Amino acid sequence: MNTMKKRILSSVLAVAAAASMAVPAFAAGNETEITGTYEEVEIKVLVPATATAKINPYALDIELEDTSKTKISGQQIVTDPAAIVNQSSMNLGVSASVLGTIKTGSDMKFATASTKGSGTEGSDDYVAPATTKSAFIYLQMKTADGLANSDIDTTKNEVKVDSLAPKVAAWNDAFDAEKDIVVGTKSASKENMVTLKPATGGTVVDGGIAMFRLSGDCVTAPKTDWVETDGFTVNVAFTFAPVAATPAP
Amino acid sequence: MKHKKFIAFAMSALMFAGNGAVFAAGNKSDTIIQALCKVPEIRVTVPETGTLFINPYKMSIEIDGETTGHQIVSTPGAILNESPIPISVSATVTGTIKEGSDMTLSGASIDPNYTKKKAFIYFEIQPANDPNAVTWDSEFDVEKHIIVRSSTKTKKNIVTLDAFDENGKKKCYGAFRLTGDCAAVPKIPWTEADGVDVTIAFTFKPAPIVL
Repeated sequence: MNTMKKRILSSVLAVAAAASMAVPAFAAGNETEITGTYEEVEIKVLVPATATAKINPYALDIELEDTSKTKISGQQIVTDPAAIVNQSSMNLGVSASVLGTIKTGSDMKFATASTKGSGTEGSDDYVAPATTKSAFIYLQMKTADGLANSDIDTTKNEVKVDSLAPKVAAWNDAFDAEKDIVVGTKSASKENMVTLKPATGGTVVDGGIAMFRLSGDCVTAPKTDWVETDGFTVNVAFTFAPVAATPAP
Repeated sequence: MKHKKFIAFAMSALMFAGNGAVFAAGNKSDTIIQALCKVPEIRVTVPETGTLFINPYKMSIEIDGETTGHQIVSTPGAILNESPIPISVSATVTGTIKEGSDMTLSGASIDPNYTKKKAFIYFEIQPANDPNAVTWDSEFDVEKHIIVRSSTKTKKNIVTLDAFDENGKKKCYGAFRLTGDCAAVPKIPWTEADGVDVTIAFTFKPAPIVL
């Protein structure tokens, strides 16, 4: 009997306590003002203003200008090491467009496909190797894996050639129509050729540097010989746009 | 107060996710790439002079340690391709009868019993990795050799020489000779006044290669 009374009393007290806690506390006013602003993030990318390349019809060994004099072998179109660096705090998608111009006085031409021809002689899809003075040129890009902030020459604002040269020498990707841009006298472009990782606290990270180059092939011994006055210029216009970061799971 | 802050944070997070990433205006930057042609240097060593012997009676003649009885014999000659690339060689040959000689040059091989003082001389060049060990053609070949006449005769791309190889394994030498035949006993005998000067002009251009 005594136990039951005690239990009832506990319940009443509990209910009373709960009721008192549920009473809302009112603020002085009844409005909440929220201010939202867009904070612009600076896109900061190191891009070389110029670069040099060589038409090397005989694929002779070419020495790069790094300390080790790294050799580029077996390539007819050779570009000196060049790279862009993402110093922004966000992922950047890099798009590019290219426009080629033949040097004044040169009678060379841009080819629209490999000058080596394709297919098997006699087959329907056979394309004979070119014989006129021409070169098939295309722009390639790829991230320079393993390179980061310490590989940047801060006085020259460029990636150190000693860091780039071995990676350029090892770069042996063949032409890929899906990834590369063929150079001609009309502008051609591709979007999102590479994505660069963001710098952290202003420090460039691995994945934040991308190499680029002109590659290709040319007719070795055309009807009219290659001369030192042969050449071309390519204007590469890079466009950078932030890419959404993948949210953490 | 705590209530206010919680709501403010939630609203800004929603705006971020609702618009995707925060995009700055697209930035552009150009790189100008200049490309020039790397032309390999062609360097070829060419001997300045040689000697030609007209040997109608097929007497044994020793030249540079080698003995021969050919009717037309020249001292060994060779050009050397010192270029880093293979080259295609063209040759132009011109014969000039020596002043005071009444010999003439023939456009074809001469019968040994021919009675006129005539000589059939032709230029031959062979690629070799050793100019002292050359396999010469056994007879005249109109496709490969150049007949010496008083008028200029040229053969383009007469031979291709390999890029210079200091190990001696590549055929970077172009060993050449003048050879042929002549009337052995013409009516007017051969004399020391008889002779012919032959000028050989070489031209070189890069040869195609397969990469």
